[in-house]
Order: sequence, then structure tokens, then C-alpha cells
Amino acid sequence: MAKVRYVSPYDKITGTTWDDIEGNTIGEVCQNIILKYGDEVAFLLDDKGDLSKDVVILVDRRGALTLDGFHTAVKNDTEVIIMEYLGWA
Amino acid sequence: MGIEREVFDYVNKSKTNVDGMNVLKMESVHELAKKLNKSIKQTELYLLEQNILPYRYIGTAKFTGLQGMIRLLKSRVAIIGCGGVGGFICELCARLGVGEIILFDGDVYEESNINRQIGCIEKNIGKYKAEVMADRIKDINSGVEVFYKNTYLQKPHFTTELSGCDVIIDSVDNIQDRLNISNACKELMIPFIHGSIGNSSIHVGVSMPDNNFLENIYSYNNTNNKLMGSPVTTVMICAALQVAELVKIICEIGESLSGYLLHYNWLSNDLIKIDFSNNNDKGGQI
Repeated sequence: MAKVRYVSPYDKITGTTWDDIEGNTIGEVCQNIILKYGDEVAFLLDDKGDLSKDVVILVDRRGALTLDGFHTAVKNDTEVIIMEYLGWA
Repeated sequence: MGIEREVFDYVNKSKTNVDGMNVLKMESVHELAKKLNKSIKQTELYLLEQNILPYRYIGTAKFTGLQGMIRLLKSRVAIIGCGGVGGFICELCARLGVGEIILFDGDVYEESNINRQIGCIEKNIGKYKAEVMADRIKDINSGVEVFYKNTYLQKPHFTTELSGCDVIIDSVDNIQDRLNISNACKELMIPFIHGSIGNSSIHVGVSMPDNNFLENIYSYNNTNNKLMGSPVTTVMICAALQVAELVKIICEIGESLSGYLLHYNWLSNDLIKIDFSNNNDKGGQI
């Protein structure tokens, strides 16, 4: 069970700031978020079902893409933060 | 009459008192620079060290104090990218009185930049952004020494181009360059002020030699595939927040965002500060 924080504007989509989501990996957590909130959060995964590279997903303050990607382990009380990837200047 | 006496008399005759501060107006500063055979910047520093404030800085010095103003004028700052956010950073640094500004950008203005890039006016389309902003900085503040290169800063040249800077400011538009520059800043022991935007959201943070906050968040795999908007409001807020960090670092005032990422969304007025200085800290502000 991960403690998930949705950072603006994603909290507007989910209607909540904090959430408890099941999953043993961050990929499973994302799949369960999509199951719970539907297509509006489908951006979390790409066409191949991997973690999207267009969004920042932090697992205990580390980017999941800097760890094991989809397979990054999630334990009870792991903190997940989902926020926009802002690339522009 | 010796030059020292002449300068002393000239300053005493020309200075005025504004709100309890001795100030010298720009015309007199320029005249004094000629008498001293010094640059405008050197002359302004000479005056500040005698507790005489160049009048143009009164609004800033009332906040930073004269010592803060001296620190700003003695500082050397590189701005990497002179487009939207970078253009406004140039503008703010010039008005603050950052003493030496170094600009890098290999891009030229195009029509779609008019919505947000301060140097992009119709007659500047096709011109190099770094060169236009260098001219604008000189027009705003002749006390600032500005150097520019109409090229993108490339990895093999980081050390030679950036060494000696007090702060490096990020206004590039891709994560790969950000990570490369951040790594170079760590090697050079220089603070790196990160900023990025998309739609109504802004991220600002400070990477210091003792933290890896950018590397902890981003991977070289992150992409810019999702095209986001870049309204001028977002661009200006990001630049202002980054330059605020510059002021705090140079003047050694306030609380720096070192190791933190500030997320601000002006559409919803959400403001969040995420602590990356200790990965195990989950309390308080996220």
C-alpha cells in the first residue's frame, strides 16, 4: 500500500491530494490508479505499458526512472509523488 | 590639485541625500568614471565602498543594504539559454546590478517567441537571442559587464566557460542539458538554480555541490514529448523565482531552495515545496 500524493493539477483530476493505493511495484501502483480514476490518468503509462517519460513519479523522493522504472519496489508506507514533468523554459 | 582631491570634491559636491542615504545620480557616476579612468562598474563599487549609493540601485539597496549591493555588483553569473525564462532572467539581473553576466544561446528569434520572450520584437526576428539580450542588458545598466556567445554551451566546454562564476542559472529547454550542466556545477562547486515551466506550472530549485536533487528527480530518459503551453505569465514568474534565489545566494539572506523543489501553479494557486535534502523525511511540507 503506497501513500500517493497528487501534485497540482493532477489533484484536480483525482479529486484528492492524498490516496492509498495497492501495489508491489510503482508500475502496479500506476495501473491501480488508472483502474480507480480511468482514462484521465492513463498518461501515467506509455503505449507499451511502461512508466511514462512525460510525468515525474517519485518513490520516496527519487524519480522512478532513476531507479528500476516500472519495477521499482513499493512497500507499505512508501511515499509516491506524482507531478508534471516540466521541460520548457 | 591631485586627482584624489578632485574626486573627493566632485563626489561631495555632486552627492545628494535621499531618505538618509548618500546617493550619486547616473550622470555624475559617468562623469566620475571619466575622472577616475575606471569602468562604470568599478566606479559604482568605489562609491559603494565609501557608503555612497549609485541612485539607480536605491530600490534594491533599501532591501539588500549596501553590502548586499556590493556583493551583487561583484558577482559573476552565467545564464544558459536566453529565450523565454532566460530573457527575463537577463532583464532582472541587469536591473539588480549583477556585475558580470555571461550569456549562452545558439538560437535565433522566431515569430512564435513573441508571446513570451522579452527580446523578441518584430524587428528582432532572425537575430541571435544572446546577442539581443546582451545589448538590452547594456542599455538597461551600463554598470553591468556582459559577455555572450551565440552558441549552445556544449559538454566539453563547461569547465572552461563556467569556472569562476558565482552562480549558474538554468534556462535550457531539455533535461539532458540540465543534468549535464548540473553535474558540471557540482564539479566546479557552483550553485545551480534550476527552473522549468509548462502551462501554468513552474518548478524552481537550487542544486548545491552537496545535494543531488535534480539527479534524484530526473532521468536522462525524461522527454519533452508532451507539448505544453508557455504563456508569458508562467515564464515571468519562473524567472522572478529563480532570480530571487540568486539574490538570496549572493547576498546571503533568507532561506535558499537548496535541495528543495518549489512547485507553483498560478491557475490553482497551489504552492508546494518538496524536500529532497533528506530522502527519508516525509513530515511537514512534502
